[in-house]
Amino acid sequence: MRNYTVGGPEAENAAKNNLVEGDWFKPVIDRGTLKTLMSRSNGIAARDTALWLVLLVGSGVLAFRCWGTWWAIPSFGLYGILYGSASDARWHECGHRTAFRSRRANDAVYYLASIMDFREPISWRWSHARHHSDTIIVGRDPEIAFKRGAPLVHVFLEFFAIRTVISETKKIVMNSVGRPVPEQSDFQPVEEMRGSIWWSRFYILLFTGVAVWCVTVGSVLPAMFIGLPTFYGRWLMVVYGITQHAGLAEDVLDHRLNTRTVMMNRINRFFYLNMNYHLEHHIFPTVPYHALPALHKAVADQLPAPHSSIWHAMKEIFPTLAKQRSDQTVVLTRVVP
Amino acid sequence: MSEPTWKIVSKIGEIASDDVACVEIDGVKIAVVRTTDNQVFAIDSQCSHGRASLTDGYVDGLEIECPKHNGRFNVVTGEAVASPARMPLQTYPCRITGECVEIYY
Repeated sequence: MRNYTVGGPEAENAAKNNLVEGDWFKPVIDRGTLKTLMSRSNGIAARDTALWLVLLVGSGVLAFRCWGTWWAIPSFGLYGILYGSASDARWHECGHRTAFRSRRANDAVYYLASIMDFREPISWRWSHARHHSDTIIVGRDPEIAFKRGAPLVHVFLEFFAIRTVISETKKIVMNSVGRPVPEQSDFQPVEEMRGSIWWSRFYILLFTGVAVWCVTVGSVLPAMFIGLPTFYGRWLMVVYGITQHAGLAEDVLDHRLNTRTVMMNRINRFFYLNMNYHLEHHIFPTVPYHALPALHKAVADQLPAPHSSIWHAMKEIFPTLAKQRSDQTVVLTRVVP
Repeated sequence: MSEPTWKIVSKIGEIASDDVACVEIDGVKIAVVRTTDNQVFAIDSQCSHGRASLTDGYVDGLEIECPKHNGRFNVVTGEAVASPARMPLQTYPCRITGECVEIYY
């Protein structure tokens, strides 16, 4: 299996092969059209955020009232998706600061969603910047979620955030005492560690507080609302996330070869904030989520055909991940126009 | 290096309102931003964070956003105002004279 360590031996190979901060393929698009697509507003994101929060609170109230009955299962199921999966898309869009025009609004939702997503917000901002610089460049990209040759049980565990929470907890504990984890030093400037230290301490305080609350009241109920939904509500985020890059090329400077666009229905696009147009997002990260369908149409003739559904994408992804267990040269190829 | 002078770099009509255009002086690429109220500002084109040209970026009032990582710079002062941008960029005096845009460089 390749060494995916960020800053490890593969990073040297990436540099030798001019894959670091490389010149990525860009489709041709009229500047006026792109300018229109990049336009920011607060209205659409305010509507979508309000709807998300209303559903979150509503399902939470329902779950609280149903606690102790079978109705608590679907209620917490919905609450968990809104907390543990839909938060990830909010974290992502507001991390790019494209969802709202207002920087304060983007940052407020970013920090809230980071807590729900169990991501220390400062280090993840830098991690994601690197992911956009060097997308699926081995040794450089800290966000290669589905590594070739990795046991499929890792994918299964990810549906419940097990591995993510373990590694993030290690990072938070280390950061709380002022020590970065080794990979973090590769992409996060040392001057930005102060923010990570304080956020890590806040996370420890918050989740310890929830644990103490549970012990005090003799019930797991408080954690069912804060903390545990990251585990039991994560699965839908993984379903979406696996469609982004899994099984596609590594070490290329063309997002058409390492990133997927998958058509999804309106409900999924609400939970996922249009990140199903993932290829378009990677090529033009300044275009807000609500303009991605229009961007998709504007450049569709220069990109590979999108997958028609999540199932259509899964049919190529899982067999490929299984084959890559024994042969890591197996890769899904794309016909580019 | 020669003494700085006002140099004509573009016609004002070549830069759309609320947008940015790339000009080059002595091999240095400079982003010229034209605001909606017809002011012009000149700032180094190369982002101080990553390898990207701000001339492909997004103009929002007096700020320009990097097309690669969404870092932002104030086009008047060059200050980095949104991460991951941290280091400021060089700005240059810029003016409209008649139909021409000039930079003091």
